[in-house]
Amino acid sequence: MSQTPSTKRLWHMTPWKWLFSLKIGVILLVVITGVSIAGTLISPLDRALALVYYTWWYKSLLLLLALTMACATWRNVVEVVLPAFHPRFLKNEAAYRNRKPGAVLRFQGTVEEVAAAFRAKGFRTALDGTFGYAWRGKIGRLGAPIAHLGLIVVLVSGFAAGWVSREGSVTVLEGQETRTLVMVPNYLAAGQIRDWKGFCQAVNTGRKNSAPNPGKQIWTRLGDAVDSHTGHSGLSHGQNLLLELAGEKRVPYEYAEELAKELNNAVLVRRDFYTPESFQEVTLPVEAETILARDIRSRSGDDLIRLNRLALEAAYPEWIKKSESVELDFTIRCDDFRVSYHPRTRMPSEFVSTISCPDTTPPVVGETVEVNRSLVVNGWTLHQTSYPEGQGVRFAVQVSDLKGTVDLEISPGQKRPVPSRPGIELALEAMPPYNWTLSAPDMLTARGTLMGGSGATSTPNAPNLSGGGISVRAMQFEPDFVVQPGRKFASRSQELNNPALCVALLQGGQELGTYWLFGKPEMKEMMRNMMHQKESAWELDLVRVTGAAPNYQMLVSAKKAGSTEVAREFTLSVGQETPLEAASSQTTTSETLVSAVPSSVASNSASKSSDEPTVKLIGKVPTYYTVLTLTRNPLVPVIYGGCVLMMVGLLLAFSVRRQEVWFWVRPGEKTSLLVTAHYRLARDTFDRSVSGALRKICPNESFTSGEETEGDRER
Amino acid sequence: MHSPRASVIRFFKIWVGALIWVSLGWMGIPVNATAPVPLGREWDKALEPLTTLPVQDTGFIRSALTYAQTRLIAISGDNSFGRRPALAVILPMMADSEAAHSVALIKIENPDLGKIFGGKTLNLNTFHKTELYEKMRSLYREEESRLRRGTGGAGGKANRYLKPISLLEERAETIDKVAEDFAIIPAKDSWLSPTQLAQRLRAGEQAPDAVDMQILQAWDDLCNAIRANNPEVGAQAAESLRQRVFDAVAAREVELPRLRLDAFYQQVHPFAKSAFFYVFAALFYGGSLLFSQMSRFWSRLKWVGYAFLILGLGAAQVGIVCRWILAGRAPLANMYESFTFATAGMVLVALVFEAIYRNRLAGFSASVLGFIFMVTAHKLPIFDSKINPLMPALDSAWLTYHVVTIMLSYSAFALSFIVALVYLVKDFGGGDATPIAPLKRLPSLNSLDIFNYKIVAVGFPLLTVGIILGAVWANTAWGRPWGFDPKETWSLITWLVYAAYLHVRFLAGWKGRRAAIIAIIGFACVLFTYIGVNFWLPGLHSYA
Repeated sequence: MSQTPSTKRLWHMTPWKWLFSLKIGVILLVVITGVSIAGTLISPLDRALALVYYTWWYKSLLLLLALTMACATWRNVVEVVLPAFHPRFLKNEAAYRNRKPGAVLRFQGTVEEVAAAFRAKGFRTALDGTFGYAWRGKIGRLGAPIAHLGLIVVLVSGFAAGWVSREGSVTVLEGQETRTLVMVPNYLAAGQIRDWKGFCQAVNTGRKNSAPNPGKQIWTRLGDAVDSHTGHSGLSHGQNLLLELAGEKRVPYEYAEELAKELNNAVLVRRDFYTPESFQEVTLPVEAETILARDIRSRSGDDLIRLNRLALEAAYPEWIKKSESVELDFTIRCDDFRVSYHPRTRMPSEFVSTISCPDTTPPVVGETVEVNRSLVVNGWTLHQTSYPEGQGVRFAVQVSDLKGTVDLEISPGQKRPVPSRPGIELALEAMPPYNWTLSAPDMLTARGTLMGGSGATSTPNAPNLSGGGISVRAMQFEPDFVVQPGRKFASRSQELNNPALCVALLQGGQELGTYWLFGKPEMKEMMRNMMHQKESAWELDLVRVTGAAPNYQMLVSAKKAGSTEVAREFTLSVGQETPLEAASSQTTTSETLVSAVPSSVASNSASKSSDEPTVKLIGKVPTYYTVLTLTRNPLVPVIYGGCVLMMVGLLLAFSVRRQEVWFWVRPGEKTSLLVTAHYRLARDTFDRSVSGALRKICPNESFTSGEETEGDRER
Repeated sequence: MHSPRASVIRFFKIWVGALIWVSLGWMGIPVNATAPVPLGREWDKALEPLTTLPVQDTGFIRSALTYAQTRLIAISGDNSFGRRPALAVILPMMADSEAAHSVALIKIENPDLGKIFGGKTLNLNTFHKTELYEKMRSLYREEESRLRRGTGGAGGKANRYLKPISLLEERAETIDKVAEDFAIIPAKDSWLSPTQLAQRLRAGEQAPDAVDMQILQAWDDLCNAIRANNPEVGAQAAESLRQRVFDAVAAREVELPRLRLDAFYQQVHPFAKSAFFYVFAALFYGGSLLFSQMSRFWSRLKWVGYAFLILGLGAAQVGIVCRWILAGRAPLANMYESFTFATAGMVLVALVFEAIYRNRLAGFSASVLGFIFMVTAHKLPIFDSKINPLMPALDSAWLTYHVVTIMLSYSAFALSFIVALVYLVKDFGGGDATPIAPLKRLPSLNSLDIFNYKIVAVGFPLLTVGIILGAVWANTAWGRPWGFDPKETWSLITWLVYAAYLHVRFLAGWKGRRAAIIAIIGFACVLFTYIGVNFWLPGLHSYA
């Protein structure tokens, strides 16, 4: 039922015709498909992006497709969709007789009766004299234009996002903070060299000159890295790669990736790469001059890499993409990074960064970022990307207070909030002996010192109880003792299933040794023959454990080696020390070492001090860098809007059944009803609803109808 | 009755055997020192308590039956050996390393390697001792080093053997570690195997624990019984081991999954059963489609096919639900899972189409493809049927939404492919006026064309929604909705092909043969997007 336009429209005018042409649209679809296929054959993805998907011509193709679609949709709306919403009448008898499905029925009634029958079946109707028109589901006609509009929105906003969106990465070591967002990193990647052949030829030309120059310097440094790949020519692997890439023969792109790695190792990190002689003809940027102006001893490793990178960029501006980093308007601090693995596998089950941004309003404190769970700060979305292992010290500690215990990790020099203790922060000094401070706005500050490995705690100025005799100190207690991988002593639970106490025997302030005492008889039996008990003048035994987690009290008996009689019995808690030779059966509470007490109550008794917050060292843990990708794309909601439009359009286009029926009650000697129908999918027979309406008004007439579509009817 | 000759031979065998037995005993050489692999039928009752024994394996707690089956499949490519169940094979291998080394279990798939090793299977002793193995290893190393250097390879013999040898090594390693990986000693986090516990105790790395020691003792008893081939003692030891492990589980408050369901899933193999039902459905549908004009009997056979198709779908659904419960997530995390899901989705789409349009071609297509897909999923090594833990990138609710919609769209396109194929066959066979009787009985070309369009009209919106959901997920996980990863690009290509199908059909009137050809090209794109990209164009979606 296409309409012929009465006036000459834009799409009929020659210069614009092609924009409205289906052929152009299909050709564009085919070209984009072909180019996209070609792009997938290019490896790696960075290169495919640089050569195909992020090029101006690929974007132009997509924009052209969007433009063609927009024009075609406009034309379709003007020519087909809008006119279709106006009632149209067929007043030509031949049209009724020639169209399928169609029928001529004997009928004595009026056109109103026919319309009423169709209305009863859910149709809407319009009449013009003896001509009638019934329709249903016309809204489905809007489906295709809406879907196309959605796609246009997606394409155009995706195109615009290329300008307005920002993306970069932030690398922070646990316990440290940064404001630097790296858009293009200092380290070279294969995709950062615009043309490897040109770059390698430039370096190769330079190295042949007798005078010092950057090319010669690169060549020399690459030659320093003699490794297992060194060929018969005596050239290093990097030099060989450079020559291969500079040659006329086409070589795999993997060579470029390999050479980028070689350049990073042999050039970027080298202290002797940048020399004023080699770069005398190169104009360095201000940033490089600033680094050079600093005292050589105050230059960090990062400064060195930055300087080398800037020198390279200045020497080969046409080949090397500029590294870029921007200053964020907020600080990102990595309080903690945690990676856990599926049991008995090397597959990580999750990796989570705990992030704080203290200078945002309101401040972000201890928020977690993990894969699939991002964090939005000041319009930037933080995504967890990777976690290279770093170097340095990080401690696993246990904070105990009245509410229980909290395990956390902390680096020297770090200050971090204590999880599930709002407002409380734990700070650790940067240097040994690693003094710690627990503080909160409304509480007194607790202080103490971590002691490496033992798990016990003490103040730096603790009195020496042992004097010249032997004393015993409770170092660590595990209620449900187990040895974990890496010989880490721990508890399976807080239940007293397998109590074990680690004690140290001290003499004159010197540690004689540490021993594990077990509570269970079978464990004692096993330990009885262990060497250290025989070597010692004293035999110790863990008799009983009282109290509840975490304030256990251990009753220990001591007897002289070889003796069967118990000489002493005394109670200890972790961190306590008691002179063995002078020990009485009573606990030396007044001499207890208190590790973490508020300054105001530092002299209080142990029973009170056990209620005070303490920090206990559990062990050392690996340090990680967390790599976060920061993105900012204000057009994402627009893209999503386009997607929603597409889905709505497709739903309308494919799920709404569109039916149009024309009827004419022809007056004459024998009044007859001429009917024809039009469906979205062409068919030869009337569908169920039209047949139903016709049967109601012409019960004795026969006409072609079908419950199923013609196409689906089985033989 | 034996013949006199047979009697003589029997007599000879018995007496010579007895003589050797006594001689060896007299010389002090241990007789029957190795455990029998596999254990005989007399062990069936003894092994019963171990079927649902909890074992921690690759991140999950599974039944010992599952452990044995996955290990046996990893070694021999089959879940049974000599018609004996996996437990009867794997247990003696764990009990006795000598037995594990001497039984010819390692499957050689590469025919060239088969010739070199002189058979389709080999044992660990032969594998490690042979000089050929050493020779091939050096070739392998050379090739590997050449590839690493990026100097390319001439594609010689070493190149051909690269993967097969690597596979053989993996299989050998699986045998070596079969006892070490049998982690039955419960703990809150990482369980230990008796072998590991014994090693740790010997090295003084772990203090003995009474519960652990009891399990260790029970395990030793079982191993001794297996080595002595004494099923009576073995039954007691197995029961004792089970009891000790469950006591430890209770004492250490370890939460166990549904081990019975796990064992049921392994024993019943619902997906394999669905293939069985699909093949019957295909036979009945085929008969009905081709001979329906001969009599009403043939026409009514389609209902039998329909019933078998429903049974097949039911079995697949049982499999999907089992995996969902056992893995604690939607079973859509690897190719095996998504493939079985897509197959079930295809059958579901076909059943719905058949119910609406009464067109048995849908049921026939789904049953044939369902059978082919299920056999493929279980026979091709690229499909790993093990339930593996989820990597962090996939640990998202979007996984379910995205993969389900994409897989349902693939299901529809698979049906469309078959219908297009039938169209072309009939078209080239003479069209509606074909003289070929079987083709005559197929639906008319126009019916096939419209039917194909209707299927694409279901698949295309699903694919669109699936791609959009994937973009939303990508934005959540990686911070960008679209990154031109090969999988993303190929899904766009597939989408463009089906978009072209719809547009040229409506606007340029491309119907019939041309539409069928585009539908076939579209399905080729689907296959490449789904399977091809994973192997030839690795990217962020390589696991999918």
